[in-house]
Amino acid sequence: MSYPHVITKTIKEFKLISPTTIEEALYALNEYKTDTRIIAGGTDLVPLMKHRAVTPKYVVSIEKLKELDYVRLVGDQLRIGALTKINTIKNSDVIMKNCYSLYEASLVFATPQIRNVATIGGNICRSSPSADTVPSLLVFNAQVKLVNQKGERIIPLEQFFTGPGLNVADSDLLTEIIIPIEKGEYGTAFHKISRNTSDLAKVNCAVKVSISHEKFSDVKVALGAVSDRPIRAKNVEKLLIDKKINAENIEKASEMVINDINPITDVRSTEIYRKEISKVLVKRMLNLAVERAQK
Amino acid sequence: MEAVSSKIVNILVNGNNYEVTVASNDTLLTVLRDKLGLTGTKFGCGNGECGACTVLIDGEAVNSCLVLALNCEGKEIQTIEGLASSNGDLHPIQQAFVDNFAIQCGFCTPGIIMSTKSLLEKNQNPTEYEIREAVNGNICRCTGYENIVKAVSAAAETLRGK
Ligand SMILES: Cc1cc2nc3c(=O)[nH]c(=O)nc-3n(C[C@H](O)[C@H](O)[C@H](O)COP(=O)(O)OP(=O)(O)OC[C@H]3O[C@@H](n4cnc5c(N)ncnc54)[C@H](O)[C@@H]3O)c2cc1C
Ligand code: FES
Ligand code: FES
Repeated sequence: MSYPHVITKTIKEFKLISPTTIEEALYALNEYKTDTRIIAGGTDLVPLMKHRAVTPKYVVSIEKLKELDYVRLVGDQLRIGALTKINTIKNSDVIMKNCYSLYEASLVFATPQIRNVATIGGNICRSSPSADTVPSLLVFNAQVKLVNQKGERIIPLEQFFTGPGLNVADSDLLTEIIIPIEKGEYGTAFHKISRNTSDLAKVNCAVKVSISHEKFSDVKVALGAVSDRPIRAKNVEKLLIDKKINAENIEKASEMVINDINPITDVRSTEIYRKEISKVLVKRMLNLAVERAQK
Repeated sequence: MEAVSSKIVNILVNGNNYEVTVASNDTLLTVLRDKLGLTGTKFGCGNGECGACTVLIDGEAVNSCLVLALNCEGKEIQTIEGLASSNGDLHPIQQAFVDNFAIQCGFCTPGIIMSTKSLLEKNQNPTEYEIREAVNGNICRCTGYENIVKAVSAAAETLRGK
């Protein structure tokens, strides 16, 4: 009988750079352009490095950039620093009040140990199609701020993702998530279908609705784990805007989600299940968001 | 700003300062077990899934298998070894686990006790739901969890009485 040579999973050698300010971090990212990874909480990156799925030569740790750890309401914008931990989101009254679906996502996000270190910036930059914070951010039309030594740009989160694990950030640092908060009455809801909370989603879904005169004045629906990136269900949205709020309209529109998604079969679920449960999930989240908006 | 592959650092574990050479690719778990000889903290999955490696960093429960040890400089780390008093008396949480038969093989126990400690430091009167939430990141394949919930609740009661 032979034993594996290495019995614990180890990380390939790399050099760690630990900037203490954003300027230093941008300098380091510019200096070490190739073969470099940023590490925030490390809950995605460390397992990837242990499995040798990524083997960077340099790792820039942004853990010490405390100025990127905040949740602030600035005028009609909710601003979240990229290094804000999922646990901070879970305990934030400002988020619970203004962005309830994001709060709901934090409740079912991984385990207490992971929530204590995982960051919202890391969740976005990992760009997993199943990332639990993303559907809520998409229904709020969130934007992200990307910074490098040459300057900064703010882009809609919807344009950030380019495929599974892929995004437009090159050697950019994501510093902030900007969420517009409207004045009127609106309701939101998020749910993830998974084996348990520490497992990634089979499907997740967030909905945001605004209501006026018993009609949908605005509807946003987003889903994860049903395409190569988190997506908005625009066919569903179109069918509901300016329509009367009733069971029939919600039912009809929810069925249409099938035209927005393109799920695969993998270890977590099957294509067929994902298609069926997406319809049910969209319907339930629409109903829940409407109920909350009417309160 | 240096790019370091290894460095001598001071890390504070259970109130003791250790000076130790740490490589950039060492996790906190490796340093605790293999360099400091603190083998109470267990290696289960190495992926953040099982909770056997749970320790507290600045009071918060984390998976030490996912933490880069170099990032731990200047932080306060607590492990299972820090719980019993120096005369060998068990900590009330440990005693409650023994009294309530919440330990069978014991492999998950150090991790679960550290998760419990983090909970009870913030909330001395947790509901059953809050207890189950707090140990949600710890897998136990022996006990079926019922006695763990009882033990945490008994430990909370003892600590409230103090
Ligand atoms: C057991 C377990 C359970 C999990 N459960 C869930 C779950 O339920 N839901 C879920 O959505 N995820 C889950 N995850 C995945 C992971 O915890 C999250 O995606 C987390 O938010 C990642 O954040 P982090 O700070 O740890 O990122 P890191 O691992 O540090 O980084 C992730 C990626 O983003 C890049 N990055 C990080 N921050 C920045 C930045 N500011 N700018 C540019 N690039 C950056 C890194 O280079 C890396 O490629 C789980 C992981 C584990 C191990
Ligand atoms: S060994 Fe760290 S979570 Fe399993
Ligand atoms: S007592 Fe054996 S794993 Fe928990």
